[in-house]
Amino acid sequence: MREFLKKKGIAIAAAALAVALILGIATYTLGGRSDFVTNAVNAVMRPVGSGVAVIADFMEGLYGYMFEYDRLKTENNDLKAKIADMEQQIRDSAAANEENKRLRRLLELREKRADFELESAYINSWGSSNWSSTFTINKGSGSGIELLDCVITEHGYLVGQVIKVGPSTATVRTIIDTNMNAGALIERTGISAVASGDFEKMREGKLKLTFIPDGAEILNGDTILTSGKGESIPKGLVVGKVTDAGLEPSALTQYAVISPSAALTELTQVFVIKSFDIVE
Amino acid sequence: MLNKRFFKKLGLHALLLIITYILQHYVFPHLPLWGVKPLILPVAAIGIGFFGGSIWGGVFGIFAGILCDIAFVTTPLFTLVMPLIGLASGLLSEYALLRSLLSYLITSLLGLLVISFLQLFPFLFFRDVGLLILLRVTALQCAYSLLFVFPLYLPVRRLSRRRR
Repeated sequence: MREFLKKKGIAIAAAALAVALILGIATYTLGGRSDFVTNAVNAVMRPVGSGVAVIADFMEGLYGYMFEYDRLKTENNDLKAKIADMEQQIRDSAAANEENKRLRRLLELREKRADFELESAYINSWGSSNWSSTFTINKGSGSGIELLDCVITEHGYLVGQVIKVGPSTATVRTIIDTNMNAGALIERTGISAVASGDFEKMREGKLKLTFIPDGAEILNGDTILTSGKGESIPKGLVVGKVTDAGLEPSALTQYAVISPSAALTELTQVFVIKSFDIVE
Repeated sequence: MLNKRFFKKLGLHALLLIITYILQHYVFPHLPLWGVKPLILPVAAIGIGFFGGSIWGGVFGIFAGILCDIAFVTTPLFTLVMPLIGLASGLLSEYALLRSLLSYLITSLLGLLVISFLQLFPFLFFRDVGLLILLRVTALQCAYSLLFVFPLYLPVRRLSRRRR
């Protein structure tokens, strides 16, 4: 080796110096552009570099799969739980919003009818019978609800009457039930009649206005209110609007079909009138 | 000391009663078909009587009747009628009919017709309601309720097998 270095060392050093000089001069003269050696090396190494990069990516992925999988899975589960929480919050806020709207409308009703003592209740379940129209609410005698108490919506629309009371639940008969009878009057004319449930109309979600005096004028769209007769239902509650009027099969008396203003099938929350001032 | 098999059977019957009640009272009122709701509890009681015998049918009928009266708000119609229907369906299978799906269908139809007649009776005789609409509701109610014979057939039959 020493011999070799002694004989060729100077020549090699001189050659290296010459190459370095040439490269230095070339770099200087090319003004920042890469020289031919760099280009040549890059050209040779580019596919190798690409291959190495692909392998490195794969290895990184493999590493991630092996060592990050559990962390990512946990993170994914956490995110799913967070999304579920947020969705629940949205649903809750939508329900709270709806309740807020109902309570605001109820506040307006309370301003109009200060004599009403109201109890808010939610519908637990609807009756399963095809021969009646009833539902159960989540409040009972424990909340001061009594038999025949009147049930309304937040708008003051008549929903029905309490027919059964338990300590924590009560059964309500809706206005379209065949056993329902309420003193009524036509708002436009002030003429008295009776709003009654009818089996055929109940199946259509409607009720009848009967005992209409002879010659009384009834028009489609007439609003029907409660008359307050009978002392269990307050005066002035909206029953619904007349959608059809005609003569009974006997052709002696008139009747009218009422479409209830309370959207019975969409009810979730109702208000029980526990007490009110009876107006003579 | 305790008859484990008996209590297991009792528990399974109670489970069937609870499931059918939940379906009857909380699920199917929201799923009417042809504008009517089905009678699931009576079909279950008829099945228990038909495959399990008149005693089991009668006893199951008492509880099913109480629950029916809660669901239909008809106290005490079903509490009185359902044990008799459970008992009668048991007697039918013991003396007159083979214990098959078709016989269960026929017995259920008979039971449902009896119940429907009792339901329409006050409308027919004490109120001015047309017979046609009453018969239409009766027919639809029976038809919808009879569909439940098929999903109930296997559970009630299996319950009766356990007793043998």
